[in-house]
Amino acid sequence: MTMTELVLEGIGAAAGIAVGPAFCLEAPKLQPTGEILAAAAIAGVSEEFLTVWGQTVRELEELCRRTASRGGAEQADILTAQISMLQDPMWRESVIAKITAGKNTAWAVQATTEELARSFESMSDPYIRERAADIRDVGERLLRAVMKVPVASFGDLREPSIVVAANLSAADMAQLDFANVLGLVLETGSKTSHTAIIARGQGIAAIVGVNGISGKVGTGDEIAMDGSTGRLWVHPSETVLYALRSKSEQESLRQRQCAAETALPSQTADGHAVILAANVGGPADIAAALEQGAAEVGLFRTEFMFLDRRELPDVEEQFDAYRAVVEAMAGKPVIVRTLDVGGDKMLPGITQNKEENPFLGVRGIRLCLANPEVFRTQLTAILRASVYGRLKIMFPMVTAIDEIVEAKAILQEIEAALRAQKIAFDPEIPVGIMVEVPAAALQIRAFAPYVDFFSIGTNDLLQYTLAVDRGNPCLSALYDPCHPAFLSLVAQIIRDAHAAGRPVGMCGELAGDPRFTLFLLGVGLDEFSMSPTAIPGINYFLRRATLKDAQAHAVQVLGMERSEEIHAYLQQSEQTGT
Amino acid sequence: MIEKSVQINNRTGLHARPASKFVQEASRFRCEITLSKDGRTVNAKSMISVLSLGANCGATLLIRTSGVDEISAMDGLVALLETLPGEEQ
Repeated sequence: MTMTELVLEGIGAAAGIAVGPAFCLEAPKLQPTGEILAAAAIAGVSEEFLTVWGQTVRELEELCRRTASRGGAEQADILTAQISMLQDPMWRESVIAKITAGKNTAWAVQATTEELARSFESMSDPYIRERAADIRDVGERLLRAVMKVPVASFGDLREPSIVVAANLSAADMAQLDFANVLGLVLETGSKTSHTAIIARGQGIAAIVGVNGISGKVGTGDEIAMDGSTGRLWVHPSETVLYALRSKSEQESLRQRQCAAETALPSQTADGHAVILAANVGGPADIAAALEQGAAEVGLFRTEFMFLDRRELPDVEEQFDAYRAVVEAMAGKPVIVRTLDVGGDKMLPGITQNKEENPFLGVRGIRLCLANPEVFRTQLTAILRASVYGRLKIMFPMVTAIDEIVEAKAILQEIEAALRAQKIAFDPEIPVGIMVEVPAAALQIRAFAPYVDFFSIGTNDLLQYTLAVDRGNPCLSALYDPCHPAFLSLVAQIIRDAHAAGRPVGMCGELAGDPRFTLFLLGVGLDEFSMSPTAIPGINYFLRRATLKDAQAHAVQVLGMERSEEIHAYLQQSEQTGT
Repeated sequence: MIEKSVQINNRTGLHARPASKFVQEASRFRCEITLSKDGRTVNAKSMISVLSLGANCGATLLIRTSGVDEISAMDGLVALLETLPGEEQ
């Protein structure tokens, strides 16, 4: 029998194509009655509620521990916050007050959940409004425990299926055996809900906000879904299946090709070679970087050792970390960025607490020069590690030649001190700067004699060029790398640096975004440094491009006057490869 | 009673995990602890109340501690707020 195909639309929350049987999670309706307690029963009922509450807290804690030990850090964080919510005295006080007034426990829990959730829903901040979902998650769990209704069970999920549910709490997600989950389809939720974030982390297709899905599909019905478009089909036709299969095959073919080509040289079809490098945060990231084909470390963020602790790392500790990274890279260059805090990264006792505009304040090299002891400690550790491979030093947030001169003077003092102590270091260690402020971008020719290389930090350069706070969600539409002023500034930096004989790298997000690869190739970028997972995709792309086309492409882009025009052109070029 | 104003400087603000850490730390002390933002004052030992403040990055919070261990509570909470982890570039 042929079933009628039904097409439904939701919000694509995690990309991916999945076809398989539905597994509908039956959520029994929790309907507390209006039963009124006899006065004599109240004390006992209150007591009983506190016991159930305690058990629920312990269950969640246990689930959180198991999740964390399985490596689900993100999920564990969500559960930790939910446990704190459940432990909030407001829950207990409000429920007990209602029981004391004669309401039955289930009713009291549901009413309390509603009150708390509504108080969040009335807030203007969208982030806070979303916490109402956490309150409801926690409240439902407590209500199930009170009504002795078992929590959602995936016990019958024994074959790979597409899980369909009204909603899945963070706790439900933690119990899901992802090996048997082809995709997730939810009636509620948004792109930023926990479920969506976890699905993306697990690499599972997900569609959320599909109105009325529960009534339209039963366990065992065949479903096809495309997580990138948010469309799904119940009883899909052969035509749909064929189209989805070929889309899915193309994607996996491309992924396999990317993976197969990681060892091949990163050069265009007409032989123009560039360096593909990795951004890393510490020794633990090196294995992944090498595996993905990184030829260098283009940005080693050293902040990881400094943040989230009360005392600063000493020379020995820093030396160990730098040495571990440079040794693991086995002779491949590593660009160490000196401490880059201030702005949104705070260090107790060092960063200023009361700045009106932290992003325009004491950060990057300014902060190091203002705290010479911290700077000296780090430079000493870097120099000592420099004999174990090819280290390069990079100063962040430079705006004036004097800053480079002062930083290099400190470096020379340390070199002299090391020489005096007969401690070995690389005397030729290259020194470069990040170009992330328009003042530096416009002075490249003047800076060039003082440095060995430049590296463009696109995230900050963009926010300073456009005067847009990159963390302000109200301005996210204005934080646009396709702004013609920004792209022409990037082109100018590279042109001026090359005129002075200095290579230019890029270690911001743009370097790993395939939409910009052709443009960056065209304007002559020498080194692309990105998160390791982005390297194979960029390599695949550039091996199919030619320098000639890239240059023509860049000329086109630089001639455009509006962001939308550039957006459309980049998108079209990424798809056609020209 | 002592009070001190602190600026929230980690990128995500006092949300989810940072808020949970803060409330746990506050709950270790016997003194009364309140947090105020823009004229609203809430119990610092209540996760739900702390979340409802919506303390985003850049927000200024006034911490008040009052009771036997008010000094160590203030020190502990201020240190915790100053070391909240930021996000990678």
